[in-house]
Amino acid sequence: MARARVRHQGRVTRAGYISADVEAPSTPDYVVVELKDQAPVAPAGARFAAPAAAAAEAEDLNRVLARFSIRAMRPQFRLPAAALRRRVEVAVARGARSGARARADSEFRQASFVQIVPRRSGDASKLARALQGRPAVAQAYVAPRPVPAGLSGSAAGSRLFEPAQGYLYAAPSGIAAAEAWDLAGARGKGVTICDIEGAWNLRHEDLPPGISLIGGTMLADLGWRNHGTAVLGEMVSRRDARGTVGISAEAKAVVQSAFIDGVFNLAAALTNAADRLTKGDVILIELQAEGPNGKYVAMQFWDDIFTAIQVATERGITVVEAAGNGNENFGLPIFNGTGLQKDSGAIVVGAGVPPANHVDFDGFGAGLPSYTSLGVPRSRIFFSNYGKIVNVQAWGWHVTTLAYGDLQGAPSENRWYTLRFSGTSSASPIVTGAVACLQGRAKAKLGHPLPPAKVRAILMATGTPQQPGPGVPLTQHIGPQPNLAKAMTKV
Amino acid sequence: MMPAVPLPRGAKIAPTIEVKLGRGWRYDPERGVFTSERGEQFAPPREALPRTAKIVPKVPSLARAAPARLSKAERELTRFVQVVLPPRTDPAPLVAAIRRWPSVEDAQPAPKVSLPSATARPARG
Repeated sequence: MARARVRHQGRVTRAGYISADVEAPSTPDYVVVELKDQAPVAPAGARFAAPAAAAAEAEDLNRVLARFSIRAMRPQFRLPAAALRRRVEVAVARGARSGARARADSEFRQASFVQIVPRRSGDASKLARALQGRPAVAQAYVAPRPVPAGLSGSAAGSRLFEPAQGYLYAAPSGIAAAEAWDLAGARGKGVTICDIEGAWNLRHEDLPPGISLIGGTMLADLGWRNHGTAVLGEMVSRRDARGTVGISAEAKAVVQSAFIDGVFNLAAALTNAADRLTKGDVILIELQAEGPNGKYVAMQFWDDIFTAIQVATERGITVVEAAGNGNENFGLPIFNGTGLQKDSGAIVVGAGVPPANHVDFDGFGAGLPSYTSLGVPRSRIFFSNYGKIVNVQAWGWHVTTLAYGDLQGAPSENRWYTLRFSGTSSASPIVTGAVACLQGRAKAKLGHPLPPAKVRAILMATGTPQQPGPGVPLTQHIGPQPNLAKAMTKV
Repeated sequence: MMPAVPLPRGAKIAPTIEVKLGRGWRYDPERGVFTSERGEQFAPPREALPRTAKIVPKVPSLARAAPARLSKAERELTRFVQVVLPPRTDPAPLVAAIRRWPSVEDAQPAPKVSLPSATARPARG
């Protein structure tokens, strides 16, 4: 592998803080493709080859390669040609006998990985996307760039926590935000997000300057302040070498308290926000309240709030709403005729199980022992509300963002970070950020934003499907997890 | 117990009753009376509410606007008013009486609101 001497002397980089001299490898970006077990194709020079019976599969891949200028293609593990032939023979046998067990030894596994180096590094992500979903391909991704492990993130000042933000990354684990960001406008440019709840720390070091309170009064409470700060962090934390990276870091954020003139009045908060925003902007409702069963439900249960959401959406503003954490079924007869069984126009968000999902503390008294798995990824988390009106889901557990201080504590809360923000609270800002990215892209590409109903339809149609899990069947509907890489193709 | 962050105990939030007016009714805060499109008027009896309670439109900006200039949803939103009660007043006994007012379609105590979050343990400096 070619190496160039790149010397760093204690400086902040995009990836983190490099605190000493290092020799960093200078390598081109390349794509790693894992072939499906039953796909009898193998790299042969700069093309894929296959036995006659599977020639179509190889040609399908070669058509993708023909769209790019390829510098090199080779087995990722540098195996001899004989090992590739053995893999093809096993794959043929597996394809012929459905359910037959492949000889999944290490040679077979390694021979399934192919390295493709495009001439232009910028093509790597496009090539990976083009290969994803082809019949012979299990997965395709851009190889991570190497960074000396011991030398980053150890300097004075806050560390970079982006690697812990799994929700940013490729589907099915995340919402594929990082794959979409290179598109013009796709970091939320030109879009304003208004978060409605009760308190925020607007002086947090990782929030952009100028986030203003556009109405209502902040509550003086650390719990509520941590919450609002964590919500903002998921969406608009600064894109720099410390802290976290917001899903829609180029969007503008404002905040609106639901407490106005000494009373709770979400309808007025929504209308005030809608008066100050314009078509294409986004409102996030980060609240829940006790419904008729004594369980938490989504705020659109109340008629005035339902109507205020309609007012905002008819003005072209997308409203995103937390479904709530009541383990409540919105399809129950008690909710007939209420806002929990009608379409307000909002995107209602449920909490899904993320890929890494172990309960590692007993923080909320759910009666679960420590280190219990929450369940199957993208299945409904036990506390999430569910029903027909719940449109999409996102990570409802252990989201890395600002505030609380369990990931990084400090004397000042301006430098606190968490890796445990959870609930439909953590899921809803992920979807809100995705909406801002989509609208930013629409503005850049089309010159105008999309109607809220179209935004919702795209996120639902292109998302990664909900999964069933023990005790949480698909009939307990929380919808798919947005996939921005796919959603962007519909703009 | 499901994940939630309740309102802080010390929060100075007044109790309210959320009122939906009958179709065609509006509240005139300056005169303190409800009026209907058919010319009816209803003034709540003085003894019906605590002395310092007040009735306010939920969305004052829409309540001030001419109905003809509002969309259907905006007009619908003008049907909602709030009865703001003195601190520590229990709204429950008042709700049934308010429901009997001729201008009222429904009345409910304010929702018990919280944040839909499971929280991490807070940092200690």
